[in-house]
Amino acid sequence: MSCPQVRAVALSLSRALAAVCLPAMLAGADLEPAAAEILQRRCITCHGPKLKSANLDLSTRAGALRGGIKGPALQPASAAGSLMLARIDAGQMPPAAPLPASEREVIRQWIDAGAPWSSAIQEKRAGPDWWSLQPLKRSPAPEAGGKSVIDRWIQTRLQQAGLKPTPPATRRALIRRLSFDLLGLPPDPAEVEAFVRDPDPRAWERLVDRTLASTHYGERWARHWLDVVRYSESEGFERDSLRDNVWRYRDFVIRAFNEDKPYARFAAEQIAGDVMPGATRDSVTAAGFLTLGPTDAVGLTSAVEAEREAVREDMLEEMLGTVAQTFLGLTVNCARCHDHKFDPIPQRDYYRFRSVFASVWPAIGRDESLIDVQPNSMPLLTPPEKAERQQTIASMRGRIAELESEIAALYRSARPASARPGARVFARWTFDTDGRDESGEVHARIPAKALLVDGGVEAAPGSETVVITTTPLKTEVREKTLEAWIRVNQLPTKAFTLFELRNQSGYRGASVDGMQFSAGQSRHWENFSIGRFRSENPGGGAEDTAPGRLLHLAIAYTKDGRIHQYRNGQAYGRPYLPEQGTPLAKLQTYFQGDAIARFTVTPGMRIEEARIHASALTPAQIAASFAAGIVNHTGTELRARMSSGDQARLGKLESELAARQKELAGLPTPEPAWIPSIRPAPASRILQRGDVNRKGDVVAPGGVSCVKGAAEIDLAADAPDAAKRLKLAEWLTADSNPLFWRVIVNRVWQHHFGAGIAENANDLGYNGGQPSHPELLDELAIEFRASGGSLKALHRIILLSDAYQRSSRFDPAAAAKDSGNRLLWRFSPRRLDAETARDAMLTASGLLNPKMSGPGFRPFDVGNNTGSYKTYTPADSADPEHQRRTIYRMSVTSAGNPMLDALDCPTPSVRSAKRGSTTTALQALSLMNNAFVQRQAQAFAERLKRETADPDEQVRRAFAIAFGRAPAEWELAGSRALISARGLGTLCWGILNTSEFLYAE
Amino acid sequence: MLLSTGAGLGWMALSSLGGRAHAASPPHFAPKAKRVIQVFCVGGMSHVDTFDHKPGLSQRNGKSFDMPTFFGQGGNLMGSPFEFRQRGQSGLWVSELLPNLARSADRLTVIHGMVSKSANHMPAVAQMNTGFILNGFPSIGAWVTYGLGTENADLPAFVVMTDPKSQPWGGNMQWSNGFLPAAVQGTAFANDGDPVPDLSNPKGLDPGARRDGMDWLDKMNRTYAEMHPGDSSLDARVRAYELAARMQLTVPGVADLQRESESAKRLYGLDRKETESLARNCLLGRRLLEQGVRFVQIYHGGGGKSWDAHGSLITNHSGMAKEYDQPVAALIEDLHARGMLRDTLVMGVTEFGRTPVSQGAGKSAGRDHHPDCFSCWMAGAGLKPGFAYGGSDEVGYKPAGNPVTIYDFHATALQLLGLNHEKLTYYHNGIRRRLTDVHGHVIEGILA
Repeated sequence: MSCPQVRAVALSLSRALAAVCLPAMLAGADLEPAAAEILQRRCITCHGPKLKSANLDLSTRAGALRGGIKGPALQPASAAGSLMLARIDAGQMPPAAPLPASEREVIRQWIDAGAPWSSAIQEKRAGPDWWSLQPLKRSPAPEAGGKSVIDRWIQTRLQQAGLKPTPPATRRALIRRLSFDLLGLPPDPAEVEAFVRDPDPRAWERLVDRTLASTHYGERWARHWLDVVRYSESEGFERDSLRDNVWRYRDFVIRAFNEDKPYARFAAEQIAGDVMPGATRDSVTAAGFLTLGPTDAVGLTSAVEAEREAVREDMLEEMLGTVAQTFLGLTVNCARCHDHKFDPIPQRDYYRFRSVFASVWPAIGRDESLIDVQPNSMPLLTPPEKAERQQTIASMRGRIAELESEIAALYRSARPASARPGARVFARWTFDTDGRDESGEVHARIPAKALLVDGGVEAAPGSETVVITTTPLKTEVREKTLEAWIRVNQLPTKAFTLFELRNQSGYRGASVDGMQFSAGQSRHWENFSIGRFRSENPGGGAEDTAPGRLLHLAIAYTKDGRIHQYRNGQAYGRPYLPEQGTPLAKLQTYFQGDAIARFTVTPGMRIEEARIHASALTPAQIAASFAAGIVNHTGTELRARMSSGDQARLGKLESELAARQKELAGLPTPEPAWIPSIRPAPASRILQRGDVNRKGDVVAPGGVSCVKGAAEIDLAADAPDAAKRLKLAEWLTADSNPLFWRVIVNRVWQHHFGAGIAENANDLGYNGGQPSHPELLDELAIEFRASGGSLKALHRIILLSDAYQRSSRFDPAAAAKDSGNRLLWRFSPRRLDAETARDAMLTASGLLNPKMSGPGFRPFDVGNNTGSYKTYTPADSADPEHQRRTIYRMSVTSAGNPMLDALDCPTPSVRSAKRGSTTTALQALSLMNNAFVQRQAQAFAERLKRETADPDEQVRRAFAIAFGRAPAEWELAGSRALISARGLGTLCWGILNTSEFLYAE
Repeated sequence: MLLSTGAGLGWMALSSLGGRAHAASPPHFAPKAKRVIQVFCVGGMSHVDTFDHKPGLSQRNGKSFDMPTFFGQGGNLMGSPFEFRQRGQSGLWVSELLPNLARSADRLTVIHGMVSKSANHMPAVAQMNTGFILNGFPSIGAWVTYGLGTENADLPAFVVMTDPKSQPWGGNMQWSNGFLPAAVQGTAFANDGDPVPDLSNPKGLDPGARRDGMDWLDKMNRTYAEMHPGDSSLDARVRAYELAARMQLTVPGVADLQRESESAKRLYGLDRKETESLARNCLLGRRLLEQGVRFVQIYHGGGGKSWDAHGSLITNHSGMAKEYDQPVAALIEDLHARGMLRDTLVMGVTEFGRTPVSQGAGKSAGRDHHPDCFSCWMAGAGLKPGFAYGGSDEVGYKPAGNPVTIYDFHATALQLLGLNHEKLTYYHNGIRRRLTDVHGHVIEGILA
């Protein structure tokens, strides 16, 4: 992903473009502005006074004449002699996108016309002197304007602009404003009346404190945070599988807000909470922040390595982009392919930042060392707990392995000498008393669904197809023969793979070689070989073995890529012959530590013995092996052959084994959580143009160099993950990092007032623009830092200001000067966001289930499609779980909700700094007809009926609940008439649809 | 469609579009096309079996060819089992898979040698829709709606119809507004029940109750808006309810295919089982375009059943083509007959092509995903009809000349709609975003 090189002039502002498209029509006087516009759009970001790439500055005529390292760029009146045009015409400049012919033509005509250049072209980018990068600075506040420092700054700007603020809002309006703002819920009518009548001059302050203490505060403000951190509970992309345990992160955020966790600690836990000294389960959960983004699970399994790498780079960009935007308000991700076009962030910084997170993966896959049982999760353990569990498991497994080995040795020593392994084979499983490899260490684990009976392995009664797998190979195998003796009582009807070798490494195209039955043709054996496609039906004839008779099957893979199949010692059909010179059909390698063997038994078919030879046996060897046959020994028979001492020892070992296995199975399962999985990663390298095939210099981990003040991260390129993230957390949250403090204060301000002091809360860089009240932002940031990062203290300062308590009354004269209300001459009214609107309906109806925390409700039906990909269909439910606050709704990327979407609920997995507020016919339709709204309206009516039988009282009560006020006379009359004609339900439906219900002023 | 935001930036707002017939935003320059209908072959339609005639591939049938493939099971080169012929006056190559489209060949503009950035369905479908392979970017339909607004406020401006058999990978992410205002998101018409979510009044609702309720609501909302002059979104809410009520009247009529003649239904294939569902969507698409819908997107195939012919190319593509060919050809011919093709852009797209080498062998041989070379087509306004642009190498493995990127394809579509792809921008998270990212050149060669 990359970002535009041009800061395009907005359409509505510029018509110069039309001229650019029609160069032939340009007159001399129009040439200069047209050329200047092109230079500014196409050239200046690199060849401007700040960056001066190749030492060339094209912002002035003098700079162009002086030129850069390749010499003068411009020769006035000679387009042909001007280097800049030569480079443009050759398609070399601009490097990413050659200029369209029409623009080249403008430049040519302009140079030929003498390159008129009346003023310097202004560079549109930030340098190190950009406002947000400067240290926090306290400016002496103006003396007049109010008690609060906020009001003194705001008043000063209003006065400068000749604006008068509106008078204070009524208490009725204030309590509603505050309740929606801090809690996301309407105030209780009784509280409204109490506040309105409260004679205490400090009534507002006391209300603010009371409201801040409510646990609903965390539910409301956590939602703002979840928007920023692209909170999602599904993986997105093709499969969009659910992530069942992400809710713990949501609960962590709600708790953090309610407990007023110091902001620096809150941030550090999200960067490194899983590795920090003194980590708690809460802090470990917090680190899930890093991996909330989408995962292209299918892309990660591509057979093409460069594609897998590119997918991983996209994941890292998403991760570090979120870190930088969330905590720094910088678009560091824009520097993945090139130096940032607008902010002083070199590409090198991107890769230094990337290095910090290079080992962080989402919790996909399993960690066997922890016995991790749930998909898309990791056991929720602190580092010491994790180490302890790993050690416990390892020691239990070690003892189990010892016991199994001793038991196996006892059984084997009881076998007659003739039955002991003769010719050296690579692996041999007799399945007499266990799944152990008689000649090597590729042991099979017999699952509970299989049984060892009469010297063979078969499916347990009631089981269908059972797959038995082995431990990985200890040495690699290329040429090979797979051999199996089976007994068939009833031919399986479904296709299955009897015996195979398989590289596990997880990617599409992993190699498999084996024997399958009924795959292409019913009752026929075929070679099964994927990864370089070689599966083929050899045409060996339908299986017709007599029930209960031993059947010998073998498949040999020769060095030249041929595959020979045998049945009962005879060649079975024709061999598979790789086409001459076809590189794709060669013999496959099965790697040590990766490849495993797999067997399948089905009802009516058992495996008596299986072998792997690390060579392609000749037809004669196969025939001999078939002729030699096998001898089965049952456990009973072998035990009878043992000495009484051995029998006693066996009994002891077997009972200890059972006890140990029970103990292992009985280990308490830690709670699953969505927390990072840490994998080894090579040192970070700069990727030229972001291309995984163009790896450049190794870089050490680091922060962003334009952020001055904080100590440099001094770590080696190969520093361990924990050290890198801990250092970054320290760097990020340092008192001296001005962005860290400005960004959060600005976010809080934005949620209180509807717009930030800096308008783009996720971008305090050049494109984010200038703040409206920079001194105030710094003042608040300094106060906030001094308070230890207490968000509640910050809210308090803001809420107690006059600016917050102003009426939202409209003033045409003020609007004429400041229509956007950036200077805060009034309090801008706002529509409730999607969640608040839904929660307000639940409050009015009385159905709101206040249950906090825990897994969310799922307002959708899940459909299964082919493969592992899911579809989600919205579903409304009256179940109390579904009447919880909307923050407890499971956020699934592809599970839309027509009503919430129409109210501008952003897609999960997308970083969202600010909600939109649109008004559409589809929104109206949803509010009119959505099943949820219908249910709430009905319940609202029933609630009113329960509370009073008098229609007038019902109307008064309804207005108090929904609007926090009494109805006017005409409203009372109209509502009464509506109730009598159409019932109370119709009135309640109407109320939930009113603008007044859905707006806070 | 009404919108208010507090962004205060210089981007064009879709504000106050309600109520009037031509409340659309002016384009950057004179448009050739006023509306778009796009049919998306989900799963990856094979270029070498449909439009990109490769005799060289047939000659080298069975020969080895070293190329990486997504599933890593690449076999040998496999010539197309389908016969190609030159069609119409133009001599455009079209295979026997698409006999009806072949008859309309002189209206098609085929673009060969296209490239995508992903060999994986969801990201590749996303790139064809949004320009990006990641989640969260606006779909082309959303961009076009954002740029041009709507011609008929009684209908959604951007309508999506999915295959009733299965959803495309990514579901509603594929027609998302991304970071654009929610007002421009695609509205997915349901395949049964209400075409638009929550369009119908609840079952059993007394119409009189709704009417009186709406009157009460209207009075309340008007009064509230009057008490808050200067907050235009409050006026917009009053109008939104009027529009919603009109939409309730308009949409069922537009969506009612019984109003079409029997011959029209037969033309599209509503009378045949295999063509019925796409025919329904294409015919409805045409009706929506007539009513001023800006952008109609129709998916053919999805995660359950698609053009994704890993195995059994012949069975898969024959079956999919049978569903696809007649309705889409009928759509083009019908638009032409109504005089609408001259200012309508029809686009036939897919997320990637398929490998010239086989996956598997024998009867079950298919082709793997191939993002490095594929073909799409356009038809209608401002295009050279009966024209093939670009090409591929001897076997259809790589483009023969400059590859045509999806950015180019999008830039061209926008150009035909009168929009400059470099100027249609929206500021989001620090970047002025475009449909075409930082790339894209208009394919001048296909413009009439």
